[in-house]
Amino acid sequence: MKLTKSALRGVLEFVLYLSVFGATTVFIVGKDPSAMGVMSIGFFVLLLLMIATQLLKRHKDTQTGVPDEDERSTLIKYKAGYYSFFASGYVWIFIGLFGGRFSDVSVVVASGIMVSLVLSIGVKSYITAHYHEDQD
Amino acid sequence: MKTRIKELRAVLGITQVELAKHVGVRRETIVFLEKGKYNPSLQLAYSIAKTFDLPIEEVFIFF
Repeated sequence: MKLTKSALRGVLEFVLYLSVFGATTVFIVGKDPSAMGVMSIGFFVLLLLMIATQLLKRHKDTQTGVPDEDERSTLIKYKAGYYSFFASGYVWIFIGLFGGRFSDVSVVVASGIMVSLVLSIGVKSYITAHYHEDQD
Repeated sequence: MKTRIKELRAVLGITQVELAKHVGVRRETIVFLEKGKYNPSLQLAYSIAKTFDLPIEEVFIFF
């Protein structure tokens, strides 16, 4: 089976997300296997479902001959990255201010990474649904 | 901005997917264009207008 450029990028993105979320989840579960662990597993399962849906959609598009990326989707990515960066900044400010209240700093850092990623996914979904250049 | 893409597509009898394939964009982009929720690049506007064999200003209507 020939691996297309689109499929290869999908697989690479999947591996990247899986690595970051997997490592973060395992780390948090290892530190606190109670409530935080359950929440992390929930995020992880949700992410897997989102990735699977995205990959299936891409596969379908490729099959029908429609490109998996165009000028609009590229603009959405840039815009989502821009907003996510600033949104994530507030998470780190919060951690900087209240990080001392937590017993283990590494758990706070791991949570920060996870919240940043969840934020970026949320922002991208929002922009995709409401994208309108006049709203700039 | 309003577009006449939906109306012109109906005249030609082509689907959103067919138009998307022809101009090299995703189907969602055609959906957003038809709703007037996306301002295309000049290149894309030209490709779409050329598909319908019309000048750009007859496909995309600016207020």
